[in-house]
Amino acid sequence: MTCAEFQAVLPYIIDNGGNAEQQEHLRNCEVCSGLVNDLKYIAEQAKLLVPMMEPPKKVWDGIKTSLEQEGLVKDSARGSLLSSSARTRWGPSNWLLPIAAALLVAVGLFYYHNNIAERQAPTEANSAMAGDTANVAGSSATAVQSASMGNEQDRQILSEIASHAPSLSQAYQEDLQRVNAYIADAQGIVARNPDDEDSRQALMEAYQQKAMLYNMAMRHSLP
Amino acid sequence: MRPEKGELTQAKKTLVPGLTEADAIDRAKRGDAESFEALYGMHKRRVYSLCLRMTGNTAEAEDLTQEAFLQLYRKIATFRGESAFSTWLHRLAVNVVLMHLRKKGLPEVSLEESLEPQEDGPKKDIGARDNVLAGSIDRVNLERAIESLPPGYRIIFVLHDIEGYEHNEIAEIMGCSIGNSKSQLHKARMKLRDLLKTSRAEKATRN
Amino acid sequence: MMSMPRGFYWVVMLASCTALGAAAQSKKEFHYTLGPHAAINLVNQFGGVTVVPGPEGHADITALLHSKKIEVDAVQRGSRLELRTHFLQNASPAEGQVDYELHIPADTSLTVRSTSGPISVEGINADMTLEGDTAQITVRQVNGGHIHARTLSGPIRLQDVKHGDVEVVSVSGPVTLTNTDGHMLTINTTDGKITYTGDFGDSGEYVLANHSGDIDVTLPASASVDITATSEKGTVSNDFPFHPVPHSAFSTTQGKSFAGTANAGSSSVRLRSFSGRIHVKKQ
Repeated sequence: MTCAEFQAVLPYIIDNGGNAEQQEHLRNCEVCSGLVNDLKYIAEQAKLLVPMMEPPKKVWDGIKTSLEQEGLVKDSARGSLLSSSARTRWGPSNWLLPIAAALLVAVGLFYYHNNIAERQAPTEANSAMAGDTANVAGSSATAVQSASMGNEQDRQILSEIASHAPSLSQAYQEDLQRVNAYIADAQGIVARNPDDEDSRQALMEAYQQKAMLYNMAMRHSLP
Repeated sequence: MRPEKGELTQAKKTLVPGLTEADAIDRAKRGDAESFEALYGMHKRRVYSLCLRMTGNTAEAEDLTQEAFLQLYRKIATFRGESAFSTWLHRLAVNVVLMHLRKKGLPEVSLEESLEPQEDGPKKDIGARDNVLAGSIDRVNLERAIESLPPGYRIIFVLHDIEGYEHNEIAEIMGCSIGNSKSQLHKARMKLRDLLKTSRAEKATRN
Repeated sequence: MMSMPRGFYWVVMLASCTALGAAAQSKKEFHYTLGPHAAINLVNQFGGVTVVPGPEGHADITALLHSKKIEVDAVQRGSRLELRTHFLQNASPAEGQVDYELHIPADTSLTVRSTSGPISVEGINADMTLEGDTAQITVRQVNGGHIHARTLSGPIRLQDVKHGDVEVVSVSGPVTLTNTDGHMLTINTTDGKITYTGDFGDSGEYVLANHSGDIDVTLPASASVDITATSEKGTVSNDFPFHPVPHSAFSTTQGKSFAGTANAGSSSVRLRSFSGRIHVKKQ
């Protein structure tokens, strides 16, 4: 066996040692045995690399902000991510803001990676929401903004489905229309009854439907 | 996938006095703020290091770390404890990174092995005896060398040799064959070998 | 030479076509040893998935591949089994179809994704996540598992599912629950009809909600429920002799909403629709 022959199969035998002929060559060939030792040494050293890199503080700050806006955290007696100013903003008429943000974040993964300008848009929308105070009109403007971004995302989702799963295009189009109508009606109820827990719950359920639809659609675009 | 290096059981991990990881997970499922922060503190380095090594880009790694933890918190209610929490989180982070790389245009792992040397591929080491590497690699040089790997090689090397995924797992994640995963890993290691030897030679010259 | 009778010719043709069709199909079998509380993850685009209990400690899987353009990747990692239909080249839904049948220990948790399904699980007492775009999902005789079932338009049926948590989400697929109860059960559709027949168990929390589909609930006289029903734009009707109970946070409007209790009122039931029709009746 020549070195060329041995090294051609080395990727596939380096873990198990190879057959008798290959092992014989390895025993007798300084070049190939040196190569194998080097490659194994590199692999062993890689295993010893510990996760030493510390993310900057702004990573946690970003997570904290999103958790608050999505309503995933509850105020805790032992401490809270919510600042006192955030608590004063957490009034019933502002439920539209975090709920709209929840949809944006829930569908953000697809949206997030497509291009830089669109990735900035949710941040801009969140900044607008963070600066807003108890103002349904302001919430409506945000809802319109999120709706327009939602329409763009809808188009992208349908485009992905048409590309990767064309037999499902019709079903996705129809279901997307149904879900958007659900969200629109639920938003209307919350706007009329901002203090009603059931209304807010209905809006969350509507968003859950859309998030599920996006999630299923995204699976088709993955290899 | 092999367990995290030096991993304790969930019951024994203590994040803050009186708060074990298992408690924090239970509380986080109910939306407890302190528990979210505690879990982040425990796992941030591993997730961030993974993101940084796979992307080679600090800004992307920060964004992906954030996204991985947000997904964790959204999905934590579905964690049933069939696997270690760190394993579950780790897998989630890998998926986040890979989805990101695919959207960017992940370098396709070729279905056919090319016998011709690639422009950025390692030289085939046939016939010429060379000085062995054993004992001469330090962590900093290795990290630098990994960072300078072409993205396709780097992803598979990080997944296999650093993060401990098996070839069949990588094949599933990357949508390639097991043979292709082995071939790409070999090329990554060969490339690292070249880079490390070059670095060692340069250092010797300077000295 | 004598010519063949025409009938004989067609028999030969049919046999040939059948043989050719059969030749394109292939069957693969996988056998694994599984410990207690193992997990199986199956991803399939086109084709059915049937899961039934099998001998303890063993998983026997049969995959019927409908063409040579697909293969099945199966790998076991410890107590986890991963099965995935893998496309070797572009294939139509018919060519890409793989039908799976799994005989597994009853305590094996499942994650099954199939675009077109159907997905059928029976007798598995473990957690499961079942998902399909247009797949019909059927779950029967499950005790104590947490069930997540999600479709876009595929119908979802649960029957004799007890003592677990159930979360069902479908955009337009009808959801039918028969003799199903648990600690927490939430059904959420956009316009899929929700049909519940049963007694809501004991001390569970149930939310059946949709946008524009109907919600039909049939319960026996022995049911112990505290129930509210409301439809913003649709109608609410009730034929069950509930005891009216004033709910301070819940306003009752004839034909639009009602609240009541039956027996001890131990299970909380919330029925909610935007424009669908809600009908509650006695079995």
